Amino acid sequence: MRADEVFRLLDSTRFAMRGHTYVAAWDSDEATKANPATLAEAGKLALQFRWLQFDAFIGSNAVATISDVASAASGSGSGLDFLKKFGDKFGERQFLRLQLLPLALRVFRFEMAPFVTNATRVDLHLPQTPEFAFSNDTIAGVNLAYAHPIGKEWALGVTLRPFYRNYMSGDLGVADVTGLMGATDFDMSTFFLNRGAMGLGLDIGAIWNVTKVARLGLLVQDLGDSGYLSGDDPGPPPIRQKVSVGGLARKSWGKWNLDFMGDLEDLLDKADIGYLRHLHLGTEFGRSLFTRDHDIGLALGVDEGYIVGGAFLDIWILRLDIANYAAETGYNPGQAVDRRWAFSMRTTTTF
Amino acid sequence: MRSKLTFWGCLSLVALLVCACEMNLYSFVADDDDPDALLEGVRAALDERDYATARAKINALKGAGNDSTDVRLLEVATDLGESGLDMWEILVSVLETATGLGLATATTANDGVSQFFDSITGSVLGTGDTRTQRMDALRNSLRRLFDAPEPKDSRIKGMSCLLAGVLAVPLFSDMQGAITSAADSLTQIGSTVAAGGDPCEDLGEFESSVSSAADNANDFALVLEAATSGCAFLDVSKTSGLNTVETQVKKLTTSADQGCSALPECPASNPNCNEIFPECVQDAMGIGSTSSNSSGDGRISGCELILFCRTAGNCF
Repeated sequence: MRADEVFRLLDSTRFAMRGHTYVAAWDSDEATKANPATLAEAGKLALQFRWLQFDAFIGSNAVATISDVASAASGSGSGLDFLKKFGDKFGERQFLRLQLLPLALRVFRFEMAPFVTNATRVDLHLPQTPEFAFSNDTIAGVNLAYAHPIGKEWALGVTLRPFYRNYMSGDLGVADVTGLMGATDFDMSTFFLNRGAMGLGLDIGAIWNVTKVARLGLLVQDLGDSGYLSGDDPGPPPIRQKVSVGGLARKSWGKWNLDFMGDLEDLLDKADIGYLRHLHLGTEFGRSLFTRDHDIGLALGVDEGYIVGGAFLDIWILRLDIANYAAETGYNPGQAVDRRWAFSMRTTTTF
Repeated sequence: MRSKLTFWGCLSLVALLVCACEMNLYSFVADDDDPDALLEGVRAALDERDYATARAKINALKGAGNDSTDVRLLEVATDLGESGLDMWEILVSVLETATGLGLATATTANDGVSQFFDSITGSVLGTGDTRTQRMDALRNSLRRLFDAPEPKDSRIKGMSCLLAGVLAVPLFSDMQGAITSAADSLTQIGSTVAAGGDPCEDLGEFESSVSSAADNANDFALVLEAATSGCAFLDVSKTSGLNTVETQVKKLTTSADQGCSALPECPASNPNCNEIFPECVQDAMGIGSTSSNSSGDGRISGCELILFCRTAGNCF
């Protein structure tokens, strides 16, 4: 079956709160997660150290499960009591993603941003004939991005991304388990996969500033499908190319701005999930206090048809983002929602 | 002050909108009849144990000509779920009795399989109408799997092996019941013959036992089809290390598959052993008919069960 959630190599709480719109976004500290062409708007920014950014994305179902695991680990209740709790978890994706971006450096229009991300998903389906599936995806690498303005209206940017990926997944049904019980010789690789490889990704982005308050963006992420240079053969699943377009319009009242954004991701529908799920809409209301970006604000968006939102605040030494968003884990929009919380914390020094 | 109020007011509105809103704005334009969407809809309905919705979507899929391994497996899950035969509940029930049966201390994989099958007792299948419904579900599910578009798919084979094993456990009990009932009827027939009476006068009870045995034999054919298809834990071609179900299937097949084209010869110690099989009884059993089984044909009929399994320890 083709139902699956949208793959994101690096996710962002800020993008999540505004419907995962980012293609035509203004320059921010998360430019390399978005359109590298925005680096051309460096302006007065000469040097910036982003000492540490920590992002956490957790599914609402996973919160309860983690509590159950903690309770079992503390010894309250038997193993069977713990197993029985899973009877209520059929059809509820357990999701946890953690991201660490340490020691990023921005020098005018160039940025180097190391990262490590780990995403874990666990699914339990069909209590009648139980099926268990999990995946654990760890990617560590560095985004090396540069942008250049072309005239007054255009900017082009590129991100080169060497990375290492380790991908584990498993898919087991009840009939597989009883088959394993009777077999004297079996190959676990039929059910479990553990593959690691070095890879290289390339993003190319363009921004057209139609007016001072309206712009269009084009972004090609993982050009030609990010391939693997060495490691296990076959390697982890390929990271598919994603061609996206987006637009942004701003309305200002004094120092406060209201941004409207819309993206159509994956124009070629390489993820094969239908175009409806690729339409993202967002709005952000905020203002700048210390930086070139909005430092305080609220955001609302439509992400795969679900209403999402969040807020952010920069208190100079620390920036905090929080969002409640949704991921579609079914095939059609609205079929199987996994509501999630995202939290981001970042500390930067800008010269 | 006013801007602070506006900010907190907006924040509360955002929180309320987001957290309270499970609706999807695009769902009204999504194509609910897309086969992939229907398949996913069946899975979601089964996760919720909503069998009416699951059945409706499966019928929509098959009505549009979409039949695949995925559809068959989901159909089987729906059959089992509708009858209340929920493998998750069985698993929990098995583990709850595991300490008593020593499942947790199984020393070999076969110990584990044997104990798993031994755990499938009346409490799992139920009694009366519930039991009948669940046996029907197992039977229908096996037929759906054998008739699947890709019967050699590993998932189809694995599921049919599992369900065949689950079906076999109560089936052996039912077979013994039918054979005992037939044997009792034959004993009465023998008494009637010895007393000079008409054994064909009232064969109602015997015919009922023959019918039950025939039904059991048909179910056994499903088990045998799975057991000879290359299951890891239900494989009658093994010569050693057989689990309890494999042992029983093999013993039954060896002892009972002796044909029904004619009555067996009587031993010297009991030369009149076939007196209990007057012509009317032979007709009721189908002995010598054109459709009767041959010896060693790999199939067991109700007739063979009654002819060769009446002696205790012979087949079970």
